Amino acid sequence: MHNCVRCGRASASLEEINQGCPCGSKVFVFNKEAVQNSAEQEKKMEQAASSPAPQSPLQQYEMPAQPMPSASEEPKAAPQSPHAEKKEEAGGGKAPESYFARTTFTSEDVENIKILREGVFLVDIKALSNNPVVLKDEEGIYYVKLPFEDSGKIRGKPIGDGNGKNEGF
Amino acid sequence: MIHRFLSWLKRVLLKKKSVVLGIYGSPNVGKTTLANRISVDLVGEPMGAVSPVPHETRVVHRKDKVTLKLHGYSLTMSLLDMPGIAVKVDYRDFLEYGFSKDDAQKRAREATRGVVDAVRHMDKVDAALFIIDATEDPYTQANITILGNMEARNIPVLVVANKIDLPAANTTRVKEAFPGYDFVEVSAMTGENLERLYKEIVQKLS
Repeated sequence: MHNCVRCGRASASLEEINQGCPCGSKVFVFNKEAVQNSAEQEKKMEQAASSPAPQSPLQQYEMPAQPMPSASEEPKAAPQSPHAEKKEEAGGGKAPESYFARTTFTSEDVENIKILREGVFLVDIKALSNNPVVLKDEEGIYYVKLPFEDSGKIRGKPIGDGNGKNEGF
Repeated sequence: MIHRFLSWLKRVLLKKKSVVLGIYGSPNVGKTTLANRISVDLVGEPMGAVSPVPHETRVVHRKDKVTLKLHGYSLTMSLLDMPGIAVKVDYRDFLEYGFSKDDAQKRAREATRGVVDAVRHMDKVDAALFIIDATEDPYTQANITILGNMEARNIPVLVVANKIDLPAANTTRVKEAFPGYDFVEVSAMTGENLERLYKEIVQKLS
């Protein structure tokens, strides 16, 4: 499934993508999550159709699929990724354009590349000009690409070759 | 081994009254311990806090007017104790030290900012001590890249193999990993071999 980047409308066919969205845009983004959700939904429906109906509500209660939580047990929150909200906002039929427009870099940000969602990045070009590349994977996890490209050599000699000293000072 | 580094310092000192000396390296190699040792020896007070937790130093610490006087000679330096440079900072590494998730994530953010600051400061140092933990494998991406950065900036580097007081220290491995660099082995914790470093510096500047 593809969504129009301008209005967020889900395209129904390849033909529509080729012709362009009714709003005038010809740019679409692939919505992987929507496809997965659709596939899962179909799978569940197939399973429900093939499985026998429970004989009685009582029998169904006596053989629960999962243990019942105790009263003292706190309900577990669904696992959340820091980007979960962003992913929902960016996908799921909502217009990604509005999300992209309001997502910026602040003075609090260490990173100069944000992962908005899989395959979609926001790059702070100004910060990249003088700084190492810092990519934030998720909250608290950063990857740093130092500005020097590792060529496998230092001071013009291969590392660990045991040859004498480099020219320098 | 350090004659070239010292000869460069000598040339710089002929032009400048003070040398900016940056202390670089990966996290937890003993940069602040060495900076404190030098600062206490020469100024009488330490520079920063030391901790077994990685990235304890997350901002650049500076100590000016650090004067080394030996055998009638004098050298004035500005010491910069840099945050440890790493290619990945992961808050989960801090959780095992008792940090809450929020605190660990905050620390990771500060540590990453420290890495950026340390790299930025490479343009401001006249020379660098590159500290390597002699008990660890020196041939790491971070070490190579840091040295490469210094090389690209023409920063004179003295490789310092630290923690020689520990049984697992292997200074030969460090020396062989970076054969093209001036080299000295020390224990910042015990002060072993630091006197030799001071002495060599002063002698070369005479």
